[in-house]
This record gives sequence, C-alpha cells and structure tokens, in this order.
Amino acid sequence: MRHLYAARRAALIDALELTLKDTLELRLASGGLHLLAGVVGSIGDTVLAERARSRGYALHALSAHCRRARDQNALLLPFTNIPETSALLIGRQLKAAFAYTPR
Amino acid sequence: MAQLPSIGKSICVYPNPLGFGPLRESLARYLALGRGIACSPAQIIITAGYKGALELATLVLLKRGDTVWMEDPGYGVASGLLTAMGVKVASVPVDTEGICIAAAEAMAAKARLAVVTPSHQFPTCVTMSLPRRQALLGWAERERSWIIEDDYDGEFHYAGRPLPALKSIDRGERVLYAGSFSKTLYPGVRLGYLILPSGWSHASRPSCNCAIWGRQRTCRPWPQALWTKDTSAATYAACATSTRHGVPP
Repeated sequence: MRHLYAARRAALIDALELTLKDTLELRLASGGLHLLAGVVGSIGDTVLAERARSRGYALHALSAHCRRARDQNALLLPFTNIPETSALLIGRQLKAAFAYTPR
Repeated sequence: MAQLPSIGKSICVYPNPLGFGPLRESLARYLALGRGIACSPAQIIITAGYKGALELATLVLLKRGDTVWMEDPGYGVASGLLTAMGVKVASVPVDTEGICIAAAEAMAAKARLAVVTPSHQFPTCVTMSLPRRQALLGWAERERSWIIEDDYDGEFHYAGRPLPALKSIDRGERVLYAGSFSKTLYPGVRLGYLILPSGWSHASRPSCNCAIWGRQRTCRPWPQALWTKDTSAATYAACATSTRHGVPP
C-alpha cells in the first residue's frame, strides 16, 4: 500500500512540475496522504480550491484549516486515489480549472 | 461474512468494553514491530475511530474549562469536538519542526492536554523534530499534563526511515497514543484505538471505566472480529514495514 502511494505521489509531483509550475510551489515533506503546495501570486487558496471543487477535484485550501494562523496561502492535493497513468491528465485539468473564472 | 457463525455466541453476552481481545493482542504485536511502541493488550482500547478515542480521552482527562493545545493549522474536526465538549482550545503555531512549544507555553503553560500529529503534522505534513518531541514530553512531565499523539498516518512515510512514534520515547508515561484503521484499511467501519499509559488500567480509574462503558455503544465486536482476520498473520505489520524499503507487500 505504501509502495503504491509512493508511486502515485511521485507521479503527481512530476505532473504538477510539468503543468502547474507557475502556479504552485511544492513543499515536499517525507510522508503524508496529500501534497502541500504554496500558491504563487496574489490569488487566494480558497478561490483555487473552489474552482477545482466545482470541476470535481477534492482539493482543500490550507487557510481553511487555520484558526488564528495567517499567510497560509497553499493547497492540499491528495494523491492516493490518482493512478500514475492519470496524473498528467489531472495536472492539465487542474490547470484548466484554476484558469476558469465563472461569469 | 463466513466468520459470523464462529462469533455467534458473542452476541449473547456483554462485550469486553475495551474491545475484542484478539484484535488488541494483534495490535500490540503490530505496534512493537511497526511503531516502536512497547505496550500490553491491556493498555489498548478499541474506539469508534480517532474521534471516539479523542472523545474518550477528553472525558477521562479533562473537566470543562480546561485548556488544550491544538496545532494551527490543524485538524478542525478535533478542535471542534473539544470546543463542543466545553474545553478551551489554545491555537498553537506550527513551523518546520512541528508545534512551537515555546509559543504554546507563552500562551497557556498550564494547559492540561496537548493534541499533536508528530509523524506528519496535519495539514502541513511536517515531521516533529526530536528536540521538539523532547520539549513537549518535558513540558507534560513538569506540568503533569497529558499528550494525545494522533498517529493517523504514521505508516505513510516515503523517504528515509520514519521516526518512531512519540509514544516510544515517553518514559514519563504522559502520552496517550491514538491509532486508526481509517487510512490503512477502510474509514467506513469506524475503528480506531487508544493506548493508555502503562499502570493506568481502566479498573484503577472509575471515571475511565464509566466512560469506556458509556462510549462503546458504537463499537460492536463483529467488525472487530472481521478486522482481526485482516490484521493478523502479521499482514498488517508487513504492509507497514516492507513497503518502507520500497518492496511491495
């Protein structure tokens, strides 16, 4: 199980580096069940999380997990349910979801 | 469901409020192998998931108005549960070494409990450093306060060797370790467990005994018996250890 998750994690890291390097800055730790990525620029993590969720991706904003902490503009990206072969597609779809602004 | 006939008699008697015996024995073996924790099955209580463990520990350890250190950012469900139970939450900052003990002491040195995620802090995934672990244990020993170690994902470490659980270096017996099957098996069955400090049996604390009986209504023996089949034969420990070295289980 950990082997599978390690492979899925590595695949999503590669995919995000290829597709969302300008938007997300990965903060890699040694473990866990999601990736943490700082949001580059002035857009808020809750805005990006909402755009992703409206397209069916269960991302969370780090700031939504804060009580008093401030300046926590980052996203939690789960990788455990993303097969290695889908990672690149997910990266591209996330990029499209982040760019989408509802009228 | 082929196992059900073999446990059919168990529904005729009150179940052990601590949980299904063979599962607790299997867990004690796994925790020694996988997390470096030496404990006896008598210290392990099967709970209705992590939230059941947190609720049980809070009922036994705290009274209304007591203060608890919680990590910020952190697991909002846990701080919400504690607030609902009438305790005060001190939101303690987290940095690259985990929860900031100096900031916590400046905020509420006399807190009765600290709830922490040392393996991979939720949600930052930071691993609590050894100096921070020692500072936290030192505070709890000095103040006679308690620590809940929420090890919800300690098994999922991908680079290098994971640090053993905080509980494994708890010489002062201040740590209650909470583990979960929600990430390693399935979340829907709501099974977790709580390790009490040694020499701290439920029988020696009437409040603990009452709390256990009262809270075990959602924790029936059948799923625990089925779980035991999954977790025995060292499968569970093999899953936790072999893959650490990149070998599929």
